[in-house]
Amino acid sequence: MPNTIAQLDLCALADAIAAGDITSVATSTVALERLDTVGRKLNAVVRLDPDRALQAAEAADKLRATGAALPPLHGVPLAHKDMFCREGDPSAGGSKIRAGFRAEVTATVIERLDAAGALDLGRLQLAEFAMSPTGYNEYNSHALNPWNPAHVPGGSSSGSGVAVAARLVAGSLGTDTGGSLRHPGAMCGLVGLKPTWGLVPTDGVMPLVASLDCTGPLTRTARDAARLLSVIAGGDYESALTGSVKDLTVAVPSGYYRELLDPVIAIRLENALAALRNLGAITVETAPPVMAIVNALMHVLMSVEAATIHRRWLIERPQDYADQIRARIEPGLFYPATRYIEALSLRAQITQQWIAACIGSADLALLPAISIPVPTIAATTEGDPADVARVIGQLTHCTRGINYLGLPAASVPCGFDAAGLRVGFQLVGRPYSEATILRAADAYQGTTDWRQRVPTAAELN
Amino acid sequence: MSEDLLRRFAAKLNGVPGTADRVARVAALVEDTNSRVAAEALRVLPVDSSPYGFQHWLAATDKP
Repeated sequence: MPNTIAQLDLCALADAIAAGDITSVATSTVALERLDTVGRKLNAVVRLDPDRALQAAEAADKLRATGAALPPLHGVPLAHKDMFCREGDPSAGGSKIRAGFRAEVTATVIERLDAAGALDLGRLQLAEFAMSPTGYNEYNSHALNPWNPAHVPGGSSSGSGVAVAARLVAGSLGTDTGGSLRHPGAMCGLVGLKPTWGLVPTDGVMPLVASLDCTGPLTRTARDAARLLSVIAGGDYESALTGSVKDLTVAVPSGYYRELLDPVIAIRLENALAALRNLGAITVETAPPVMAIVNALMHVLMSVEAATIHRRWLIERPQDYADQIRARIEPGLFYPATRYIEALSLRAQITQQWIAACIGSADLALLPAISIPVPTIAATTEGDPADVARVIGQLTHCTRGINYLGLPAASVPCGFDAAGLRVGFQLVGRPYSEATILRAADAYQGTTDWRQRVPTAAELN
Repeated sequence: MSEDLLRRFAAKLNGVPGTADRVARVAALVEDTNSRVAAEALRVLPVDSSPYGFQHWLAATDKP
């Protein structure tokens, strides 16, 4: 029975609890045990709160027994990236510097999950200060990819990706400033949805770059992502999932987005496009604008805002940063204020140009999520710093620019590479087109079984 | 861009002497990025631009 519960995706779990097929106490007990065993082996867990969670689960079961109307996530146990604050609880943000920090507020998204009936089991691992596409964390040690623990799980929402992929929880909130939901989504085989900038509240979430930060879900299915987004954004994204893409045109930008593409990943993307065409979607090729300027503008916002937040600690506690993380922040101390304002002021017109070039008259653009096979932890931590920096830069090649543009995007799993690591594509849409992205992802997932593959490290086989 | 200038920027204007010691590794990136953004802004930024323009544009595109 515990393995059966762990295999359920978020919507199936919520529906089973609502129907009385399983209890919230049983479900939460399974999740807590798996987080404490499998989760700790994969270094995905920061802290658990079993007493509070089981008390809430008992209350959820009692409420269900009364026949009361139930909210959409009633009694469903979740755990989130350790940067979502709950008043009075620790929130270290993956860092040595914030160890011991206790939140004075509760994040609005956590309050919305509470109101929707979800249970909060604890907090999950992340990259130090949410600043690494690999999940790099010298202080807490790196989380491990459940498909092969020698490889990175993707970050910065690394623990969220690991926990959902290893069937420890059915969904988790993360954040995305330069790809931090889509990287673990792609590398762990999940849907990682970065909403339109500003759609989901970020108050009570440790800031990194306010102009780029987005809160979103990591789940196994697009339907699960739609249910979580409906709660945290306050809308209905689930009813849009019709299973059909017959009215959709999907653009496939060439040029920059194909420059680094691994041949095996290229085949997986082409297979995904063929599946969408078989479902009735039309695909067209487009050409991106000069992406070097988009990436430069993103870098200015990222480094300047991060350096502003971190300057006091860079002065007082520089030794408490990992060098790789400090190196990403420090360039922001050198740009003139005019560059920063220019980067903000150019944003709308650059975004409109990107949409016109990459999406054109289509509904969505399909890009690689990451262009290269999932690297080993060693390849992103050891050896020549220039080689390490090159690999890390390649990982964000197709993701970081999207944050400057503020557009919604999601990673969608579409198979495995030659080494058995996950491959994903990325769907990008116009502002507030999350429903269209999720509809296409859901229709695609209906034709494949990639979402049902379970890594050996999940210990369910 | 002069590394010494960047060192003084870090140490004198931002009060981060440790960063000043590590200027060499970021100087090329900072110079390249600064040049690209400065040139693009000169080329295309309208005189009536605003750092809040993106929020206004996003709000205008929002169709519930």
